Amino acid sequence: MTSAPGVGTEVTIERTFAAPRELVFDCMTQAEHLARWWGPHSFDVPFSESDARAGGKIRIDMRGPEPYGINEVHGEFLEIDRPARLVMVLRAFRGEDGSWGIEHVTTMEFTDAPGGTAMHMTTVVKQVSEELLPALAGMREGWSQSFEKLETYLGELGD
Amino acid sequence: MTDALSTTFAALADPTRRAILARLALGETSVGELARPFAMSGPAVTKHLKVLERAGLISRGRAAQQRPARLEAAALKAATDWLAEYRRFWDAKFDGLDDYLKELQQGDGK
Repeated sequence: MTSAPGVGTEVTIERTFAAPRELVFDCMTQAEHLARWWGPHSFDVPFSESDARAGGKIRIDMRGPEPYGINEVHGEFLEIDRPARLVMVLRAFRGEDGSWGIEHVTTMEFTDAPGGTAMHMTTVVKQVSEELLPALAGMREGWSQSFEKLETYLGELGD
Repeated sequence: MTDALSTTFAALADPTRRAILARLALGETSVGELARPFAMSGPAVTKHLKVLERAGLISRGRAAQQRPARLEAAALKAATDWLAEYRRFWDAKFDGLDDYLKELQQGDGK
């Protein structure tokens, strides 16, 4: 049974990161890492927490220039098996009526690979608002900027 | 209140409905013809068609017995465009993680 090309609610991404599995896994699950890479470089993260166990809460607040203000990401880990596998649900863009602009369940699996760590990620979108599309495109532009801010921060740490 | 895009994704979440859409991409089709590859009853297919119709992904003809179904490409395109943008969103995030991992491993020697 084949489905039409592009039809479905799952997005699968495969990527290799030039780092060992434990470090990549920790970057996905530890608040101190998430606060430093999750947002675009024009944003800071005034608050983050990540309880890396099954049922543990995830919370990342990103503060950006107008019109973004503070963007809250809420979620929880459904499964954690360091450094091989994690499953998490994330919700963001809460509307005035309390509903979430987006809710998605993401599964990441990590294996050792030449050059570092191979990640296989599948995301299932559970709920999404149409207004989110232009917001996502705008944030994506922010993400593609280089990490000048991080380089400055690491340079200061080294002083 | 559930908006149109969420309704669309809920409709697409079922593999039988995705297969029905694939068949309709080839042209307008009757309920009987749609049921055949699944060895499914007419009423069972009709239930799926109702979900797809409510999501705006298909429209159905008026002829009482047949009510052939037709793909509504615009609604499907909205969903696939959204998924493509969503994928680019994650790809850009991971580009940032690449930079961060490089700096971590070169940088402060902790």
